[in-house]
Order: sequence, then C-alpha cells, then structure tokens
Amino acid sequence: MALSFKLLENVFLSSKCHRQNALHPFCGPLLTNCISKLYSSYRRPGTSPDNTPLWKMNFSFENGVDWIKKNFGLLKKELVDHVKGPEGRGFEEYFLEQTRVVWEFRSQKDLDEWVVSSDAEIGGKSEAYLKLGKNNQTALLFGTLSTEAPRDGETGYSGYCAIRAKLLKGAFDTKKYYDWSNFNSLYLRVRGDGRPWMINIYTDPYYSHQKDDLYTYFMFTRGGPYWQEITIPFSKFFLSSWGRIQDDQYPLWLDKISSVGFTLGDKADGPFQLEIDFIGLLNDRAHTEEFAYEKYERNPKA
Amino acid sequence: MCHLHLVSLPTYAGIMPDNQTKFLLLQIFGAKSHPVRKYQRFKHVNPYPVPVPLPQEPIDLARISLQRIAADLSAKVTVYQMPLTDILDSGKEITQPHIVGIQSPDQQELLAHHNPDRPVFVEGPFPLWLKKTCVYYYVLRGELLPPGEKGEMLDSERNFYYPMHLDLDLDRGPWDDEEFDVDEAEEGPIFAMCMAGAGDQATLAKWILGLQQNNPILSQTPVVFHLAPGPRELLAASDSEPGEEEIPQSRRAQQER
Repeated sequence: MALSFKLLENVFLSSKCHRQNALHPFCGPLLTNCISKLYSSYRRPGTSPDNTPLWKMNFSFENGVDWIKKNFGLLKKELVDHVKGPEGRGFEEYFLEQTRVVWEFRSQKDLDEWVVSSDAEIGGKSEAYLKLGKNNQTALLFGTLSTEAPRDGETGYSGYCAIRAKLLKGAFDTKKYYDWSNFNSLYLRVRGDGRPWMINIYTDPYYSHQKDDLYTYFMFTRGGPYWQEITIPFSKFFLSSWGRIQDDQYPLWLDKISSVGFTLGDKADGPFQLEIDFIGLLNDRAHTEEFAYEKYERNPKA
Repeated sequence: MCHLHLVSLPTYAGIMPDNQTKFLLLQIFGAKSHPVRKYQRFKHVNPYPVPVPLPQEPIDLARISLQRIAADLSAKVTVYQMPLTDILDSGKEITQPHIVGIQSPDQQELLAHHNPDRPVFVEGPFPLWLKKTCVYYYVLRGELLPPGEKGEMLDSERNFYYPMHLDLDLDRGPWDDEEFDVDEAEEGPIFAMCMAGAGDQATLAKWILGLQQNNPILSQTPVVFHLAPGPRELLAASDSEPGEEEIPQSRRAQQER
C-alpha cells in the first residue's frame, strides 16, 4: 500500500527539491542541480522559510518513469547481491580482505559522488571547485579561502571549504551505509600544499538526537611535488557534535558509516589545492589501540 | 559555553596552541577543565611541524621549506645565489634574487640515467603553505616514459654471491597483504627543486647552470621552461602556458658542430 502510494507520487513529481523535509519519505529527491536538505538544515539568516504548497510544483511524467526504471534496476541488483554475499562481495573477499579501495577518481562519474561546499553558502567569499586532474587519474580540489565574515549580524567567523561524499542510496531511496568493520585505518594518497585539513566521518546513530555527531581527525599535508600516503587509524577519531568537541568521548563504530568529508578551515587567506588519488581502507594488524582518548568519566560528579 | 568557543577555534584552525595559551587556560579554568584537556590532547598531532617562529629571511625560509618538501633526509640544499642589490656608477640598480635549490642523491641518480635526447621541464611556480605564509617553488622534472622505454632492470643473475637488490620488509610477515588494488597516478621523475626570488627564465636558467656542476648530463639535455605568471596547480602542464621556450643548454656543443 505504501509502495503504491510512493509510486503514484513519483510519477508526477519533477526534480525540484522544495519541501524536502516533509515529503522526503515519499518523493525521490532527484538531486540533479540542487543540494537538498539531506545534508544540512541551515537557512541563511534573513531569508524566509520555503513554503510552496505541493499543488504549485511542476509535474513531469518522464522523470517519474525514469525514476521507476532506475529503482527497479537497483532493487534487482540488491537482491542478486544479497545472494552473492555481504554487500555484493563474495565470502572469501569479505573474510580475507585487508585493503579495500572505497573511492578512486578516474572519471567524471566518480566526481559526481562528491558534493563541494564552501562558505559561499553562508555569504562568505571563498570559492571551491572540484575537477579531474591530469590524465584523469586524480581529483583536484582547488579554490580560494577568504576569512572575511558575511555581514548578516549572526555569523562571527568564516572561511572554510568542504567536500563530502554523497549519501549512499539503495533502491527506492532507502538509506544505505558503509560497513567497514573489517578494517581499522583509513588510507589516503593525497598531494596537498601544506595546509592542515580535517577529515570528518558521519555515522548514522540509532537515536536521532545524535544525528549531528561527527568524528574528526586532522590530515596534515606536507606540500611539495611528491605524493603523500596518510594512514589514520579509526581509533584516533574524536567525537564532536554541532562543531564542538565533546567532553565524553566514544570510539567510532564502523558498521554504519554514511559518508566521509574533508574540510579546510585554517584561517589563512589565499588559494589552496588538494589532489586526491584514492581513498581506501586498511586493516593494520599491527595497530592494537582501541581508542586514543579516555573513555572513563574524567570529572566525576561525586 | 563561551570557553568552548574560545578553544574550539584554534583546534579547527590548524594552529596549535602554545605555552602562553596553556598558561592562560590554566589560570582561568583550572587544571582539570575541558579546555585544558583539549589542549593537552592535540599538542603533538602534526607529523610535519612548522618551526615556530618562522624565519623571515628568505634564504632560511627557502631552506626549511625545501627540506620539508624533499621528503628525503639526505637531500642537500645549495644556495646558488644570494640576494643582492647593487647600484652601479651610472645609477642603475641591479637586483639579484636569491636562488636556493635542493637535490637528493636519489634524484641525482635518476637524472644521470636520464636519456639526454628527451627534454626536461622546469615547471612552476607551485604554492606551499607554512602556517600562514605562502612560498613558491619550482620543479625540474622529466616526462613520464611509456612502459616500453623504462630503464633496464638489474639482471637477477648478474651476481650469484649476494643479491644486488634487497627488498626486506621485516616489520610485516608474509601473511599481511597491504597492497591496494588500484593503479596509482604516475608522473615523470623529479630531478630537483628550487625556490627563487623571481620567477623569470633568466633566474631559473642560472639555477640550471648551477645544477650542471653536479649533473653534467644537463649540459646536453634540452630544457623546456613551463613557467606561469602566477601560481599554478601542480598538475596542469603542457597544454597552453606562456613563457615556453627551449634552451639547448650546450653552447659548447653548438660550437663543436
């Protein structure tokens, strides 16, 4: 019953993303040219909330049919993959793998899986662009940072740029997660220009009041023409929520990771660039640390 | 929550708080408080720390940044030219920018094996950030050879008494396979790097002449300059830049011909 209702809605809805919060379970957010509220619920101070009613939106039959075809294809693929093994990989691969390449940048399709944002969204003056590098073998994130704060009376600081992987979507836009429980470190092959970046890992927690949780760690680039291989164990990621580092720290759980992002906010005005060759996972058997920060309560009330 | 705001900024800004901040934090908040704990955790996180305070003099700055990007502890830094401002008798000013170069023994060997028929490229300037200062460096690199023309590998049967090429990785056992199933992005070999006060061809030609002292093969190799007027991305090369010129470095060779 719910499925048929969903299909009916989708036959008539086009690719605009109004009213995402209310309609999200029913309409496929066809994210072609706008970044939907899946990623952030920020509204620029001074703009009014978007309240166009449903009957004013454009309807398109073609998009609906495309959407149905695509999702049935994905559903079939999911069923077949479920028979093959976890996440579509065979069992030997799942049990014996020690390395896995999660994102590599070899074509425009790989670049489309990432979303670039900068403080231009809050009114700042930074710019950030993502494009394929030389020989289509790397991704180049470049732009300019400007720490001049936007004058809207609310924002105090500015000057950041970020890139984040799009959320995984299954058939009919169900939420899917990465399961990285076989691994314990993140491996990046990058070439930066000396700036310190932050790596954020977004998980999907059970309780919705933890939805702004973020696990972060720093990535210090050396600069220079040589490639830099960075291995960061997941035990080093610290928990922060809404941008503030939390007092009580908990280790990162690897079984429900929704996306990964890189942020630059080092308060230095000027151009920046970062080239990423690939992002992979590593199971470092020599790394036995469970968590780098104290798990006990540090300032007990009693 | 104001103290959180205070301390969260430096952590996210890539600036490590220093002793003064620590003292202030201790005084204001007490030894066991949240900001102090945060400071203690992230003091030594940077694997490539930038010296504080950063030297202002260009030669020292160039030396430190070249050693940082060379990634090789046995690399040698040579100062090819000191900055000089001369006023001639006629009142004309001649300024000489500084040129500091770096080359490691591995790079020297690669250059010695380079085929002198193929050109080498001087590319630049590329930006390098040290905290808040941006410096620019230039690179001497060769082309990526197609797989058929790579240099000869050492014949494994050349010497039966001991192995000529040893690749022992004693930290890991044979059961650990940490290779990634991806073709890494390959680029041509890098022969040397330098930092100069001015980015024009004459200055960099002086650098090449200085490099020739230790790398005699440079005198026979054509050098192509790919210089951009402003800072460039590290990858963009060969398509369409101004200032592309070839210098057959061998005036002597020409005279011989």
